Amino acid sequence: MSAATGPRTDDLPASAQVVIVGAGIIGCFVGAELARAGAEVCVVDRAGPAAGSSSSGEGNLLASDKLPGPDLAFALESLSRWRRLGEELFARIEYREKGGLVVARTEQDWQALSELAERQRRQGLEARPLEGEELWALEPLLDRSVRGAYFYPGDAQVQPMLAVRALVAAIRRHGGRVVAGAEVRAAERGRGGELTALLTTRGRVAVGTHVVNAAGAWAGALSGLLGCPIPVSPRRGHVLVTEPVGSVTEHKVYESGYLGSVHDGDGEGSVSAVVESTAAGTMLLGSSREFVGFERSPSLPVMRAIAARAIALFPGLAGVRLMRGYVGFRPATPDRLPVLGADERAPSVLHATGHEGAGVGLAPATAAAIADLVLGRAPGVDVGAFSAARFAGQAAR
Amino acid sequence: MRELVVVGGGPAGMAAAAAAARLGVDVTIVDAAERLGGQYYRQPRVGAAPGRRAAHGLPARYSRLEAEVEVLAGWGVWRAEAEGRQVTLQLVSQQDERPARLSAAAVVLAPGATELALPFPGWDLPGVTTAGAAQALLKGQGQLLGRRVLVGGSGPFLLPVAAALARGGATVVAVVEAAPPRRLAGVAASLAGHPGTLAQALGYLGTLARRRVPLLPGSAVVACEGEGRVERAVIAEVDQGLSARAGGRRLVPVDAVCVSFGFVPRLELVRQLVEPKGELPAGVFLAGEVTGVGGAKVAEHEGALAGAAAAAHLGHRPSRREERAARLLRLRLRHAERLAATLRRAFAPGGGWTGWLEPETLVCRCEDVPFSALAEAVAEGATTARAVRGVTRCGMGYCQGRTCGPALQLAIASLSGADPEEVGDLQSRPVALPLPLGAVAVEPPELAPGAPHR
Ligand SMILES: Cc1cc2nc3c(=O)[nH]c(=O)nc-3n(C[C@H](O)[C@H](O)[C@H](O)COP(=O)(O)OP(=O)(O)OC[C@H]3O[C@@H](n4cnc5c(N)ncnc54)[C@H](O)[C@@H]3O)c2cc1C
Repeated sequence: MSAATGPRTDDLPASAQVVIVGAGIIGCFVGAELARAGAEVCVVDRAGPAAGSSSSGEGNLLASDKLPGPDLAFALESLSRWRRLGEELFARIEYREKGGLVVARTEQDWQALSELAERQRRQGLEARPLEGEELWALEPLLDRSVRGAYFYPGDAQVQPMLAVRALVAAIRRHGGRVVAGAEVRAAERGRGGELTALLTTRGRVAVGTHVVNAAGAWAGALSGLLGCPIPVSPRRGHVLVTEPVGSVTEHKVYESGYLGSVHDGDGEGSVSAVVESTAAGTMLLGSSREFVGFERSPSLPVMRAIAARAIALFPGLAGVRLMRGYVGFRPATPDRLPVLGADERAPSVLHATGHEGAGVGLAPATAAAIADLVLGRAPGVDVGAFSAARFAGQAAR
Repeated sequence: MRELVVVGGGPAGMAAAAAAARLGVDVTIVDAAERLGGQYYRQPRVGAAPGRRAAHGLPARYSRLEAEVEVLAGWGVWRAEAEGRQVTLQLVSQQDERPARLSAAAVVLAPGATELALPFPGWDLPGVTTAGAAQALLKGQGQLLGRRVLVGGSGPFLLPVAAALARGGATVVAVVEAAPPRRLAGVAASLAGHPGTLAQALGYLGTLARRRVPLLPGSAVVACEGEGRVERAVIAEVDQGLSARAGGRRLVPVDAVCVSFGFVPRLELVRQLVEPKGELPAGVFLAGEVTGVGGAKVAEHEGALAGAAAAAHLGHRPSRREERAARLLRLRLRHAERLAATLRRAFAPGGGWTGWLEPETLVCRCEDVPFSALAEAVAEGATTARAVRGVTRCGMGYCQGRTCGPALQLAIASLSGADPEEVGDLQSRPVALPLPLGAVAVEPPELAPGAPHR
């Protein structure tokens, strides 16, 4: 087989109508949506596609963990958009609608979970309570001491790196560019203070109408450069990967305590069990949430706690081998909800970030909302609740 | 807490342990294997019949080592962390997978190297293995891989393996060395200043010559064929970048093939200790192949110096005589390291081997990833080993890239024209070896000194 002619990275154009900073799942989804609609897009990334959090998390598309209100509404919208992407793509990105199971360990957890699930159901999310034999039938290896669970059939999964790869191909197919190795270092402004160009490590690109801030956990720094700082900080998570095993579970199974650790205001270093299998047969075990900056060295106590909690949920896991571990950084805002849309401090900037542990799931709705704003279309998705204005005066932690 | 723990019981680790013990340090050696020796001085397996072919075990200078230091054989180290003046190692028993902890005031890391296996069509056929695996089988179990064996690849390691196989009773069909004759002549010339190594090389060559084993420089095993097991090796002439020259392929009947392109340092534990602060913590010393592949002699010199450095760090002052010995050792090391550098340059594989591959040749055998998948990912713009792994699963299987990782790195470099350093490797592994989740989930006790270790 002849050697290839070197990798493909597009050249930085002199100008683009829309410059998207960040080639993670968010930037690439936004880019593909816009390119498909005929906009001239250029996605720049200081490393390359999926070099950030989109390759160091998991790929769950969840509505089950969203709180009733705008959070859940946005997730439901996004999941229905994932579902409409079509079979041909699904095979390439390992899309599986496998369903989520939220497990309550104690009577108290069970009461809280039931109450939450009822409110979610009223907002249109499908959820089914399971207890006793019904639960063991669905999840035979689950620890028998759990009180009960809710099954959410709409929860799904993709492989985020494969999704990003498909999106990059789509962007290029529609004439857009994806430029690797271009870190945005500064912004150039016109006389009226308006943003005219971005200066990157690969050169200058003039901005036509919009800059999209899709810099993930680094969005805090980027927004500062763009003159409209928003409080986004890295919230670290660990993932443990086991050797390939037969089916311990077919679903995404997590303890209801996970909800608390996602949505709490300030929780330091919380761990709750999240157990699931992948298309390759490995199990992914999570999850942890800590604010430790961009510290890349995993913490042994956290790894230990994740293993212990996963075993408490599925005792059979004790004999399964741990093969690998990694950490990733969730782009987190003070209220754990995304920052989407325009910023009055910098009229050409659109934020598309702060998705915390749900950026993969929320990418399609985010892309639709941003595309509507860029193209001046009537908004198809309501993102009023996610405006940067809600953080006026707050700094990142 | 132990005073000094040496990780790895090969030439570097044993030399480090012996040197430190001589200076009065309490030393513990841990090694995942059940006996000391490492690859080079691999001893027969415990309980294995001492077959005629098995190697003779440790050199005399280490015969008392097991009595002088604590040897924790059969324990794998899966994680290393440093805090303050203490290094903590997480162990897992290779016999019963029980976890344990070992803390020390100083650590010498001498985890050695793994073999560089470059794929080629048919490398996954039964009967095809690495040179190191063939040697381990012979030294450890006294068994031969096959009767008609072809030894191929590149590097000084091919000769001892071929000679041992021949002495062990195999018919070595040929030794196929990729480096061109001109470069081998250069290597031979540089051996002049190294009489010990020269004598050793001549010994191997003599063994092979007496048995009329042909040496084929500038050639490579570019494919293996057979029904259900290797039956034929395809040999082609290659240029110095490892690209096969047009025409002139030869089919050689064989029943085993072992190939090696050298060694890759095992960096997991080093990375685990370096990554948090970006530097090696105080009290941690490196020796042997982790510092750059140099072979057993360099490893032993480095080990002895690392052991002495660890002793000094621990406050054991060397005597005048010992200081003189260390100075001499440093000179010897520099001399040996010069030769090692020459050898590394002479036998470094070029990127032409990717041209031997068929699109469907598997690069990753855990996850069945063919070469075409890598080429496609690189063509789309993935430039790092990590990025290519993410979209192809190459290196994501049970071995976690321990086998295919180096080949992946070199393949990406070859396909993209990038430097292997820029491509990066897959050796940043928070879990240095697989272990049961049940062993991860508990905080294990410190391994009591003097406890039964096996
Ligand atoms: C352990 C863990 C588990 C997770 N599990 C899930 C899950 O199951 N489901 C889910 O939906 N989400 C999950 N997430 C969250 C998800 O990974 C993130 O929300 C999502 O990846 C964010 O995507 P992004 O595109 O905004 O950021 P990223 O993927 O990080 O992309 C941002 C990009 O911006 C680039 N960049 C930053 N600054 C600059 C600059 N100045 N110039 C140029 N480029 C720049 C970076 O290089 C990076 O590539 C998880 C996260 C973690 C850590």
